[in-house]
Amino acid sequence: MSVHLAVDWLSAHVDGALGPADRRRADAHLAECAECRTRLEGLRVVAAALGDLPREATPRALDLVVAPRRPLRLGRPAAGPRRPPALAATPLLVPFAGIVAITVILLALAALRLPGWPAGDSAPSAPRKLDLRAMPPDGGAPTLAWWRVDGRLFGRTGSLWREVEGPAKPPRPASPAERRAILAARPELAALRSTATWEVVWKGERLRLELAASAAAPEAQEER
Amino acid sequence: VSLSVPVPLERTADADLELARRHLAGDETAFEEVYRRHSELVYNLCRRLAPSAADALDLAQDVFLRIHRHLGRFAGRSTLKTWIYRVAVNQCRSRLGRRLPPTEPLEDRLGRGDRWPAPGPDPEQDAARAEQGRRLEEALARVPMRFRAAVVLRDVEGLSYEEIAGILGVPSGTVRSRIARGREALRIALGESA
Repeated sequence: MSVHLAVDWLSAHVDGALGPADRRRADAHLAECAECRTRLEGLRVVAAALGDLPREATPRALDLVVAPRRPLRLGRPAAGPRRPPALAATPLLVPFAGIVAITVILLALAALRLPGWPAGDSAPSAPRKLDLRAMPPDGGAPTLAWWRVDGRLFGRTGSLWREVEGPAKPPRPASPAERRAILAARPELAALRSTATWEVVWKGERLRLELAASAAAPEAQEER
Repeated sequence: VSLSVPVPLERTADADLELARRHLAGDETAFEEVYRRHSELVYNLCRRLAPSAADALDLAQDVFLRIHRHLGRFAGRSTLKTWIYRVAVNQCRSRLGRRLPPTEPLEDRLGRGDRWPAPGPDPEQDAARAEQGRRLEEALARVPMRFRAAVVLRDVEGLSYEEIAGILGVPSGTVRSRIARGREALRIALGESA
């Protein structure tokens, strides 16, 4: 047979979406055409296989970033999961619960690629990637949840996401004097003792801030 | 006139509009509710439209950011679920649509993809199914986005032609055609990789 059914018809046949007259014509052709029957069966198998693909649970990383009510704050004890009453009533288990909560949070932060700001002179090449960094806007409470999309930066204050900046420009490195002033104003940053480079807003300008101890070396030279 | 049978509030369009109104008024719990109800849907849709789990996670973040920004504008012309599907598909199309490798026109390959195995009572069926799933995901990632979105919404999400038309903003006939071309591309790809 030289004329075959169009793939639109075969696919609609799989869905039972052909009208009665078209269905009769298609069935009459299929009864005589092995090639179209094979293609129809192939489409049917594809549709069924797609329907059989497993559904996945929402990743924890997405919950952590998007779902409100899980604020992570710098310099304060992070709120861990609520303990069940039996656990709360067992004093010896409380320190272990704290260790578990801290471990979970650290693992989650590691999974979210924190610290997210690479050591270098330029802005991230893929700005739509998730960025987590300490950059309290407007002198507000430091939060640890930031979200960059299309070069625009959104931060969470409490559980409210809001845009905090327009298109991103690469931050400039903080001078030694600025570094001193920032760390004096925000001791929670100094307490991190991180080797990462952080981005902060200082007097309306975005600055790169090295927290590592070695970053203090130029400062010492300047003071001499 | 009062309804004798109470309708679950969360399933009504009024409830969707109420969520949008609360969000617009600054009620942060409204977005939480939207996330709680739809996060799995959004992630799984992104998972099937994106080439990798990492891309799906990025996309799902972007989708929820857009939902957060625009939920207040939801006007109830469709269900919130349909609106969220639309946001997610548009986000995936804008992010991934230009990234796909060029594909060969289907017309050049029709009739050459008959090696996709039909189901049968094979004792190794479970292992074969897992392998088929992996090949299917790989093949799906190579289908052009406009066909992929239609076929995923139909065969993975189980939506009707009319619902898909509402999400994609195209007529039902176009949906039918895109589903057919997406399935045919998969049939050929899987036949060739068998």
